[in-house]
This record gives sequence, C-alpha cells and structure tokens, in this order.
Amino acid sequence: MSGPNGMLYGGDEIGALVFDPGHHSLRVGYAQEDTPKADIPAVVGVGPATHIPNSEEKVPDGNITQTGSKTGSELRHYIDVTELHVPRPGMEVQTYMKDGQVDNWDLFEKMLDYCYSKVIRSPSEHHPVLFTEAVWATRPVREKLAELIFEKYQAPAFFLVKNAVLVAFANGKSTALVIDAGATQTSAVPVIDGYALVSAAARSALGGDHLVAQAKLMLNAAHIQMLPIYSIQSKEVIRERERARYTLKSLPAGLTQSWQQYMLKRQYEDFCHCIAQVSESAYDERTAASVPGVHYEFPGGYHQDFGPERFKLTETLFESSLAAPHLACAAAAACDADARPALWAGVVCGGGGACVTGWAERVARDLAARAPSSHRLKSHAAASLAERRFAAWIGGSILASIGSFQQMWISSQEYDEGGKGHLERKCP
Amino acid sequence: MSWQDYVDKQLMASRCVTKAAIAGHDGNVWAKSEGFEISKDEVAKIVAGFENESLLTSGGVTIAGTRYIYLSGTDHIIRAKLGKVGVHCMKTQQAVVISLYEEPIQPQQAASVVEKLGEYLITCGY
Repeated sequence: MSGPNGMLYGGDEIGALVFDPGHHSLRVGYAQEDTPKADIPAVVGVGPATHIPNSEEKVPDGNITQTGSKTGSELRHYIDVTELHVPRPGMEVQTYMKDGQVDNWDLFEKMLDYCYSKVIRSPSEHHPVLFTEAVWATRPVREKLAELIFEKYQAPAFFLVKNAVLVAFANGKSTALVIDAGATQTSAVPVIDGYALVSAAARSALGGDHLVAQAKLMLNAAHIQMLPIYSIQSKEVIRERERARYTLKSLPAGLTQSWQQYMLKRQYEDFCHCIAQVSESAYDERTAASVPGVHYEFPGGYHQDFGPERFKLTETLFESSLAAPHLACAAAAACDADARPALWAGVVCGGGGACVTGWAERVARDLAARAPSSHRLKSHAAASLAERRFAAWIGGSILASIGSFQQMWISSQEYDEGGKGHLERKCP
Repeated sequence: MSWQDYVDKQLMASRCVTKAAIAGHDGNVWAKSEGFEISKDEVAKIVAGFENESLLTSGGVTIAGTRYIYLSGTDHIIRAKLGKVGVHCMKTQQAVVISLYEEPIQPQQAASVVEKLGEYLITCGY
C-alpha cells in the first residue's frame, strides 16, 4: 500500500518514532506504544576518553605515541544514566537545551546517535520521525532540526507538533487549555481544534527546577547535609535525627563541578519526588501538621520524618502571580471570547510537575476560585502519574498512529523538492 | 489567465479549498468562487490584520458574515477556524488570497495550495 505522497507503509505497521525533547529528559520510543522506550537525561557528559590498554598493545614510551593510545586528547560523549553516573575525572556535564529548544546541535546529534544505536537499534532510514516542539519554537531551530533529520539520518518522513497539542490529544481532547508543568517552565496554552494558539500562550519560570532549588534551600536551612551518594562507601544504621555515621569512598581526583552539581541535583529531585506534596488550599500550619509525615533517608544514613515542611516547599509554586492558575487565566483571557467556554470546560494538566501529589487538585481548586463563574470549569489530569509525565510523548504516539495522519507527514521527496518552505506549511 | 481563472482553475479545481477569493489590498474583490459573499470591509480588516495581529486575536476573522477564531499567522499568513470550517489567507505584493476549507480537507492541504499560488503571484509582481 502506498499513501498519496508515495510513501510505502504496510497495514498497521507504521514504525514511526516519537521524540519528545525536554529540559529534563529526552523521551523516545515507538508510535502506537503506551510509554516511551527511553527517558534519557537531557545532558551529555563530555570528557577525555579513558583508555584501557589491551594485552596486545605495548605500554607507550615517554616520547613515542602509538595510534589508539592517545589518552586524554580525544573527547568522548557519555550519554544516559549508565555512563553519566560514573565518576570520571575531567567529564563536564553540559545541557543541549535552551529555552525549550535545542541549542547545542553537536551534543544533540550525539543524543540522536545514541537513541538510534542503543534505544531504537534500527537504521534511521526505516522510520518516519515525529518530533515535539515547544509552543514558542522559532523557525531557524525547526528548519535546522528538519535538515538534521532528513539529511543526516535520511528519515523517510518527518513532522513537528507543538507539545501542548499532544498533551490535549493524550487526554482525548482536541480543544483544551493545556497546563504543562515542565522542568524549567510552566506554561498555559490554549489549543483549539488541534491548533495551539501561540499568541495567547502564557508561561513562567516556576518549574520543577525551581522546586528542586527550594528543596535545597530548605535542607540547608535545616542543616541537613545532602552528601553525594557516589561518595559513600558504607553507612551505619542510626536512630531518627541522630547524627549520620558513614565512611567515604576514595574517589578519583579531577571530578568536575558540573558533574557533581548534576548528581546532587538528581538527589534533590529524588527528595522532592518522595517528599513534596501540595496542600489542597493555601498553606495552613495546623492542617499541614495534621497530615501524617513521610520518612526519608539521606545518603549518609541520616533519616527523619518530614511533616509540614513538605507543604511549605511546594507553596512557592502557588503563591506568586506566576503560578499555574494565573497563567491559565491569562491564556484564556487572551483568546477569542467565543472560544473560552470550550477552553474552560477542558483544562488539561501534563508534564513532570503535574505528578507532584496534590498539584492537579490544587490547580483545579485555584482555577475554580479565579475563573469567570459564567463558564463551566472542568479540569482533567490523567490518573496514572506516568501518563501525566509523558503526556506529550503519548499524544505523539497517538497522533503518529492514526490513519488520517499518514498523509500529513512531510516525506523526504517533498523536502528535497520544496525544502524548508514545506515545514511552515505542513507543520503550523 | 484572468483572476477568475486563478480562482476557478487553480484554487477551486485543486479541491483543497471549498471557497476562495482574490482581492486587492484596498478591499476590492478581483475574483471569487460562486456563492462566496465576502465584502470589501471584511477584506480590508484582513489586510489590516496582517500588520496588526492583536486586531485578529481579539476580534477574530470575519468572512462572509461568519466570525472565525484566529489561530496563528505571520505577516503574510492568517489561519483561522470555526468548527468544521477553516480559513487560510495569504498576502502577496498587491493582493490577498482568501480561502475556506471544510472537513475532510486538512489545513495543510489548503495551506499548500494557497501558498503555492501566493508565491507564484509574488514572483509575477502581484
């Protein structure tokens, strides 16, 4: 069978890939599946190749350098958790994302190489590629991405979709007010009939990273030490709130600042995952104290119960005028008055930040207080946390699998003929 | 080719638009498909909207008496929609090509046809 633009596809097997690049991680997987195959941290470790001599090579003399034993002069890229989390001297951790878009194309290419060779394990020429993009994506970046995918990876087809539209699709809607709680930004985007209204979108820098920074402040103020987990050799069992007793590992010298900060950040993120909770209404000391606490053990062995602090931590996400409910109201107000009832009836939440316990309920509550009472307000968030976190990717998986979408791909022939002009036309 | 030919043989014949018109920047309608009652005022508003997006985000795009919700656009493209009907307009040097499309036509199909014609007109100096 072949589609109108001559693309061959056999029955149900489309084999499209869905890439969802974000600031925290790159989600990649096959279309028609429930969740991405891989959720790779959006950073690349760049460091000198650590050479392991094999038995055949002679140990190099002082002046003589043999080919293949040039230690320290070639750079290797370390991608994904198994390679990144190993302490390596001189490995700098760099992010390739900026403002919701790809900024460092060399590193991003390495990420894609990794995806194709280790995650997809299949030649790139065989799979149409669907990429998500930020609502505020700029034209040069989109064109560069299309160029990379078609020219380097020789993909047979390509398409770009705004992530807000996909979050709406993942929740079964084509018209919705999408609140996407990401790592670096939280945004509210109205989506009408599958189109994201870019001019009406509102965003703020209060995202997951902000929450992590708050956690760090809170722990520092409480004099709780977050030791790097890779430095602990062993720890002893102690009573709650007792001083930690542990022995340290001997680590190689030359571990970079960027790597240590990255590892610590992941630990603070873990702390937030376990501890952070959003209170149902504005923070109140007494109600917070009445909720049972959660126990957390730190890498050094120190452990304690956390009670009201859990709610205080997340309160900063809601008290400022940049909070998610305010963004949603601003976005809806910037829309055509005729569209607003449909938007308010379909408020949809997605993104990693929406997985914090109580976040979606608090947003719904604050919105009910602020939204115009003339409109019916209904908010939706997927029941399972994984579905919320991967909402944009799942939407992409759904979109790439439906029959009527197959004619909408930009095929490599079309790209060869029309070049980048096609991109603007076909991927609005 | 006459302007009516452009409408009938290029735009309508592609079957990627259900209604089409070509008008000048002043609002005068040069040619339109059958039954498409677009007024001079509506065209003038659309032309103003290319320059000033805020006019469209608040007021929408009115064509033949129906007000469509403005979706997105650039300084020479306007996209709007209402229910099953979508709008795609492109501004050329002296004219504006206005089209309406209905389901099951995809927005990208209408966009391709309108923009190809628009680009051709620009190369001709129109």
